[in-house]
Formats: sequence, C-alpha cells, structure tokens
Amino acid sequence: MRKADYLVLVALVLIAALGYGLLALRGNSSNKILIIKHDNAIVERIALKGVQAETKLSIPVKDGTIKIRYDKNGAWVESSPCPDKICVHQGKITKPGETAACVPEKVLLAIEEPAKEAEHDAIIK
Amino acid sequence: MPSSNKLALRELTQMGILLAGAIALRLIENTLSYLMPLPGAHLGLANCITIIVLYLYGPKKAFLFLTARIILVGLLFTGLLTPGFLIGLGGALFSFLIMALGSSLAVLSPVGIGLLGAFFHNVGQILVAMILMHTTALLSYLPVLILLGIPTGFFTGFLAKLFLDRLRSYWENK
Repeated sequence: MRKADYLVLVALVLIAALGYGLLALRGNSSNKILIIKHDNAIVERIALKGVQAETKLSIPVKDGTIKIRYDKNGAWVESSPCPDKICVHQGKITKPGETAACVPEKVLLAIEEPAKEAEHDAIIK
Repeated sequence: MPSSNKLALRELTQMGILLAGAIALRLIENTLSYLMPLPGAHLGLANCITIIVLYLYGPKKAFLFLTARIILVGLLFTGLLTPGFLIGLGGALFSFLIMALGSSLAVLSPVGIGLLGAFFHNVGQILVAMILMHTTALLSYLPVLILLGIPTGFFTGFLAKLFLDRLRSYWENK
C-alpha cells in the first residue's frame, strides 16, 4: 500500500462518519408523516400521530401487490413481488428522512416532517 | 503483421478467460449475498477482475471488457434494461471512470483503486436510483453503503494487487 491509499482510506471513513452524523442529527420527531409513492406520484399521505392501531395497506403494482403496514411509530413493507426484496429487508422506518424503496415496482415509502413536505410539487389526497 | 496478430489473439484469449472468471464470481456472489449484512449488497469480486484488466491492458481495453461483462451479466441475471440493470450500470460506469483515472495517475496501488471503485460504485448506483424514483430521499442509504464499501473495496483491491504481484514475479522468473 502506498501513502495515497491510506489517504483514500481515511477520506472514505470520514465521509461515512459525516453521513452517519447527518442522519443522526435529524433525530426523531413526534409529528411524522408517512408518504407512499407509486410511479412517482403520491398515493397515500398519513399523519402517523393519529394512527391508533397497526394498519395494513395494499398497493397494486406491475407484478402483483405490495403489502405495507404502519403504526404510530413508522412503516414497513410486509411483502413485495419484486425479485430482490430489498424493500422488505429494509425493515421498519421510523425517523424523518428514512425511506424504504422498491425500485423495480417503483414504490417508495418515506417518513417526513410537515415542514419538509412543502417541497413536494404535488400532493394527491 | 503476423506478430501483432499473435499478440492480439493472446490478449483476446486472456481477456476471455478473465471475463468468464468475472461472470463466475458474480454468480458466486449472488448465491452468497444472504451472508451480507445489507440485502442486495455485493462483495464486488467482479470488480477485482476489472482492476486486474485495467492494470494489464489499460483503460480502453478494460472499458470494452467491462461493457461485455455488463451485457452478459444483464442477460444472465438481472435482465437487460430493468431498473436493477440500470442501477448496476450507473455504478459500474461511474466507478470505472474514476478507477481508470486513478490507475493512470499512478499514485495509488490497486488497494486504493479498489476503495475508490467501491465508493463511486455506490454513489453511481444511488444517483441512478434517485433519477429512476424521482427522489433525493434515497441519499439516506449512502452512509451504510459507503461504510460497507470500505472493507469490500479494500478486499477486492488487495486481491487484485496480490494477483498482479504474483503474475509479475511469474513473468520475471519465466
């Protein structure tokens, strides 16, 4: 290994640490909104604070149905017809800024705070 | 020019063997992916072969090699032009560009090239996924991918260096 290799190594560790720091800074919020997008359009928009019990939700997609569950703390993909199941393995998302994406079926779960929501160009209710 | 034809044939054969190796490694990785801490994550062993080709034959031929690998892996595993294929393509091209630049500057060893390759592969993948999904929210995946890319990039770069060093000493002693 050369000197420059060590520099690259240190730089990458710092970048990863910075990324984690930025993620942690966002912290938790009591006023969370669950956004579910399909084909780049918002199909559901749920204020998690008002959710009483665990709720199921099905979204029809190209290869079948994506099953989503959510409660007052967060949301997760229960099952998906996509080949790699990255969205299912992503697990429960609870913090603003966290996402669970199923790229093959073009479905995205995201948790946001009301202030950030204004950035969307369209909201379908 | 019989001598240059002979050389071209030898190179073609060697690159063919390496290409078969890269695809076999990809297949092994696919079956081993359940061992990875993050679903969909790969060790990047195929990238180890790309680094070796980059050092042995230079950026132009390595680019042709990579193109062949991407198309073959697409046909065999992900399917051509599916979202998964496009994401992999973005990662592979972005990381190749940086690795080609890095190897021609000659200040890094293959270990540094492996680290840079893994990093820019992740960045390229996320960029394509962000374009496909029309969202910047996927950036939150990056820190964990970058962190995972450090040991895997180091490992693939180290393997490439080991291979190249052994090959060099074999040629010198021949």
